[in-house]
Amino acid sequence: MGITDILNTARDAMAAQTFGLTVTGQNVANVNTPGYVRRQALLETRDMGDKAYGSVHVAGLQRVADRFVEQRHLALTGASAEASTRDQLLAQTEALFNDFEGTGLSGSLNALFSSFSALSASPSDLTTRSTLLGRAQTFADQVRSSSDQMQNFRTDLFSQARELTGQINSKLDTVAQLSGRINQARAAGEEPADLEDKRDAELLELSQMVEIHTYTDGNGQLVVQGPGMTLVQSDQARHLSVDIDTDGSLRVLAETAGGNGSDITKFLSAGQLSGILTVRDHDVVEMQSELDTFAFHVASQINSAHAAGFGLDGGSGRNLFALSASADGAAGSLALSADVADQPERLAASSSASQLPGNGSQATLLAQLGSTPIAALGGLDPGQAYARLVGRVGQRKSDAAAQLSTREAMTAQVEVQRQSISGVSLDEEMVALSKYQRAFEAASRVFTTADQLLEDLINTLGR
Amino acid sequence: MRITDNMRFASVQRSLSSLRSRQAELTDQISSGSRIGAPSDDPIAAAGLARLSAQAARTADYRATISTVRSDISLSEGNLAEASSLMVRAHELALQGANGTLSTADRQMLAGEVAALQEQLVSTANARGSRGFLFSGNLTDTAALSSGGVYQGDDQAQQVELAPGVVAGVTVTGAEAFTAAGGTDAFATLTALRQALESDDAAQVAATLGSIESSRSQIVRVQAKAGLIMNRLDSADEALAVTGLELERRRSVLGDVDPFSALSELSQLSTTLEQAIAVARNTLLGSGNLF
Repeated sequence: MGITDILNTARDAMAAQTFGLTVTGQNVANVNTPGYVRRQALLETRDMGDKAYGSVHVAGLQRVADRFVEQRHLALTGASAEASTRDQLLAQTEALFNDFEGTGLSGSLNALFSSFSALSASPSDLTTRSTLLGRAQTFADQVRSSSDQMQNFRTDLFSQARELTGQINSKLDTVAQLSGRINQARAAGEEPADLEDKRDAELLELSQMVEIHTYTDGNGQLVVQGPGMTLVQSDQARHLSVDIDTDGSLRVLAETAGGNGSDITKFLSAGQLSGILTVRDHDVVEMQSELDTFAFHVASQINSAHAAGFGLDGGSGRNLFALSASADGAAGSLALSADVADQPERLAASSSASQLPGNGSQATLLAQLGSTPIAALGGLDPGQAYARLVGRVGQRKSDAAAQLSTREAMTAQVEVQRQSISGVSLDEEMVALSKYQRAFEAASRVFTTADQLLEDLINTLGR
Repeated sequence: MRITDNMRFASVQRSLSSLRSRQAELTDQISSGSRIGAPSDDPIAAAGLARLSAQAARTADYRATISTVRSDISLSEGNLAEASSLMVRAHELALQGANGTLSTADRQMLAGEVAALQEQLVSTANARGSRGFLFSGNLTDTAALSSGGVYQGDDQAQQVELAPGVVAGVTVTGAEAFTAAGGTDAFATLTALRQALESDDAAQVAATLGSIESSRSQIVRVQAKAGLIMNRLDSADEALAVTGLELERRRSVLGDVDPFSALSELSQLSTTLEQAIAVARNTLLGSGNLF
């Protein structure tokens, strides 16, 4: 053991503390950087051969992250993004049925029955008849337009899904590239912490779009598992695409070696893509079918009552609405029947061909349909049935909002956990700063002391 | 637990933003006066509101129907009053004509007046309302009496719905007021009187007195019936007005903001918000101050 060893130790110590200061500086600098995971300087004793004492050695840098918390964070971010997408999209469909101002479908339904009522009081009045025709037309137009708007919405959602898959694919490519660069860095013996930060940030964004799980395989390679399919392995990415199935529903395909793509639609369960899919092929489809059922049964009840009556010309057996044969697609094709269009005198207000034009009993029956329960609509009258439809649309939206707030709360919780583990605490960094500074001061003191010793030695013995 | 700076900022942000959003929501509700802006705000109440608005529309329909038919039945009543006074005049003329001291010329003059009464009866019976001839039953485009006094309408009163499930006749027909179907044919009675006067037969004139009286009382009966229909329409309308108010009240309970509770919650919220801001100020004190 010699005095020069002390000098070496002091040198190592000063280098190590300087490294610690650098890491602290980096942490402080990145306190607000999204996705930044705090670093810890890894110091260890350097053993000095067979001697009982040693020096310090900078072993490297550690990213302080909990793999399981990170996994949970990815999963919950995906679930939140799905709920948020569904909530936003349903707010748009809700607007279709939000007619508290009395201008929507419920207003025109009420106006139609009001017109029947007015016709029963003035069966021979042509103005009343024309008004009724106009209102029947408005009702049919609004039903059709609600149905059309939902159909257009589904088309829009397909475009959105297509755009989103484009973004997903470019993220997958980025993740694969980063994985490749991380591999190269590791092979060159470098510490790719910054690249890993970047990859984690990309994965987090990816998890908002589509459900992913990540794990590290036996070779230390990151594997990104998507819905029912591996999406990234090492530096290779598998692309997604969307198309329309024969029944009009959206299909998500994963690229396969053969080229045709494998259908992974049924595996989707989180992320924006799943939100779009749920709204497009589940929520909106159900709303459409409820509107179809409503329109079909209301219009067919009106038709059969109207067909039993007599117009001013004595004619009978005419429908008021042109209606499809079954409830399927009824709302989208509802229109005024050609039998009565532009011919108000043909409206069947009378219950008898011999009591024209003063008999308005059939119009009374038609007006009564407004408050007559319809078995096929669950025993509700048209107004109630529409109210139930509106209630269900609202319920759907409010369920989605409740789901969103639950998932957001869970995500916030895991974010807190993640921050708690990986976030930068300025308090800690301040303490670390002092710690390394003091240690550096002490090390330089060791250095001066050793230097002093040497000087003494040289001055005393060298004389 | 390890508390990092971003956790502190995030928690301050979360608590402030949730308070702010509730504050905005309340302000919205108070300024609009409505608790429900979209069905999802309260799906059950939204469905209830849609149901109530349908019911309110039905109620308004019944009232509109009533006001339409009300004017016609009131016209009918007036015309029947006029017709009954025609019969009163005919009765006076018959009494005069039955007087044996009257000269032939006087009776001819009376006969002329009866002919005029007959014309008036026809024009009264053929009065028009908003939906056509008042007394022709359902055949509203046909005059009730021909110039020869033949009834051309039918005996069906117009049926309308006055309240849910209540369908009632709201017109009176010429058949029951003026023809033998209701008891006595008014026009034929007058014809008999005129002919008796023209043929200067006092006894024959006296013989018509009975049927003139029964014809008059028949018209008065139908007039009373018209009055009853008007009463019925009025009371139905009143009941519907009450229903309308009740529906409006229920709509308000369901859809309107209770201003007192909303305002008190808002002022409570402002206090909470001030406290939260004070706490936030403390929380956000930087670590830099510690060293």
